[in-house]
Amino acid sequence: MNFAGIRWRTGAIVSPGPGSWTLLLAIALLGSAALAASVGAVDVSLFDALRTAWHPELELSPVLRDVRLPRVAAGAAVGAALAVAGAVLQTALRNPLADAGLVGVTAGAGLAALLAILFFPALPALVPMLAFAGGLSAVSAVVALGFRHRGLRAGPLRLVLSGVAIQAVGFAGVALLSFLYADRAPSFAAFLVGSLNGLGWRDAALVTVPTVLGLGVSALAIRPLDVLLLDDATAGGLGVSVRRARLAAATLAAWLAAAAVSVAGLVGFVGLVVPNALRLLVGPGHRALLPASALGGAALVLLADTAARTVVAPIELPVGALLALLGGPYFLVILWRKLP
Amino acid sequence: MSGARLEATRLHLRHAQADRDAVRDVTLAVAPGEIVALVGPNGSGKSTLLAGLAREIAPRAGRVCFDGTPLERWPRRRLARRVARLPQDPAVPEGLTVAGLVANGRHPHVAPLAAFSTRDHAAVREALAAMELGDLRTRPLETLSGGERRRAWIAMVLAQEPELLLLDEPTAALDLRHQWEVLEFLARANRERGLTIVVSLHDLEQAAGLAHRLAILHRGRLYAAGAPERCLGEEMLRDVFAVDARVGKDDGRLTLRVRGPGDPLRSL
Repeated sequence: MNFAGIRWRTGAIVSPGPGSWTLLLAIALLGSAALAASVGAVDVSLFDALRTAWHPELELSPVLRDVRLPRVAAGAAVGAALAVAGAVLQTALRNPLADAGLVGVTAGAGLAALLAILFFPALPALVPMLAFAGGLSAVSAVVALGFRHRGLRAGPLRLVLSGVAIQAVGFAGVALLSFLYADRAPSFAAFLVGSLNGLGWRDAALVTVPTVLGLGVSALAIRPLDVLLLDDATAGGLGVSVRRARLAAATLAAWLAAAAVSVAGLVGFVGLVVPNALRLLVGPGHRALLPASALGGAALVLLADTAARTVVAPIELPVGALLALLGGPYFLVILWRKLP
Repeated sequence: MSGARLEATRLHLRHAQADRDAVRDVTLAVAPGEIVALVGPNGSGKSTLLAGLAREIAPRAGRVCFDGTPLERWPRRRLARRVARLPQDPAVPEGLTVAGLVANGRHPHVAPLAAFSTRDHAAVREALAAMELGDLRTRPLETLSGGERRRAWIAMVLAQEPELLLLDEPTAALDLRHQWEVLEFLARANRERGLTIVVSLHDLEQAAGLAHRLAILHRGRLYAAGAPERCLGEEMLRDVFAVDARVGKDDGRLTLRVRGPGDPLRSL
């Protein structure tokens, strides 16, 4: 029997192929988006909402239109961007523990956001833009340091170490500023833990547009990334300039991560957990891994955010903290299973 | 036979952090359709020379030309369509299947966004068939035996459809049967497709059996190059390998019997 690509054989599930996993993840994403849109302080009937599409005289529920839908769009984009960024970086740096934090994106974005909050309090619209710019400039610094050495072995380790250094400097700046201006940066706490609270359509556009662009570019990177899975000598023999490919991949990942961080703050663990979990299901090939990561990351963030809004309602928990709370133990389980 | 020459001229190679050259003043030309085996004791510069011929290490002095053009002037992808390289013990990405690995061989032939053409699919299929991997195509590499895995890597470079193949010790760490299989596959690819092969080998008898010419390296220098019968001599074995050995012939193939250490003074 064949259902959604899964072959059932006398009760035991035969492992489905990558294509069917992608289909299942797409269904999961649709489901979690519907859940995220309808559940909350005000329950909204999606059936009623769908009816407005055919009956222009009916009005879409304002809760749905102005609060839920932009939040769903932003959450899905954040999750997709972070997960794909993680998948790309893990391959490019040949390090399964790589995520956007490791190349300085989060520290750069955090520092820039804090500066914006502190010194341009009248212009909240500036925060995500400056955070985006800050994330990208931190990565540029990391990449410039990591690739300065023109020798042959300017490898992933150099990039990671430069990232750790830039990250330390960035977070030191964040700590100093929040210590000096403790009274003036209340909204900064939300940024540090990562949250989708109060995002509107403008924020949604701010993360969705660069995310879609970045995902489009990542489709171009599928085959070079596959080759980067092999070691440098083999990849070079296949006609890939390993240095250049690694640099391009790091930049792509930074772009995606900066987009996500700029509106949602430091949402951790999505970039780490989602690609690593999906690699076990669909394998390391990027033709399957990148779309699966995008779908899985989006679904995970939407589910986590829905939980964050409803578990101890009316208090809205920050989704970043919830994800870390779930992601940490999950990661330990994976590690324990895999280590001999 | 059609194809291009690979020529190293007065080549000096040095590793990034080293303070002396690992390959010194090597001049070697490989003709189309030829099998050249690089032999020499540990540390004699075999792997380094192969890396230099594969453009992995830039020459410190001298140059390497393929088809008359220095390697560094070749666009990488265009070179990779004609020259393939298999390092000694490539790392195995976890979860990658045999077919997934072999498909990478088509990378230099396929434009970034283009799908595989029928020719690409055919090349992958043929490479899998040539290495007798058809039944294993969906298996992850880490579940294969050492010999099967080596065959999968060779299938990847065959899918690349190069005219020149550079291999670093393809028989290392394989049992006798798998060693024989790999050598047999190489000989057949040379015979049937006219594939030019430069291969480093540890086993002199294997090298003599496979190659048209041996290039014997000693402390980074080319000690001798020529037909196996001509340069596999007792004096060379004493000078280069520091052993006292007898070279014989059995069933048309050169054989080697080591009797003891060579005179240590001679090898200095």
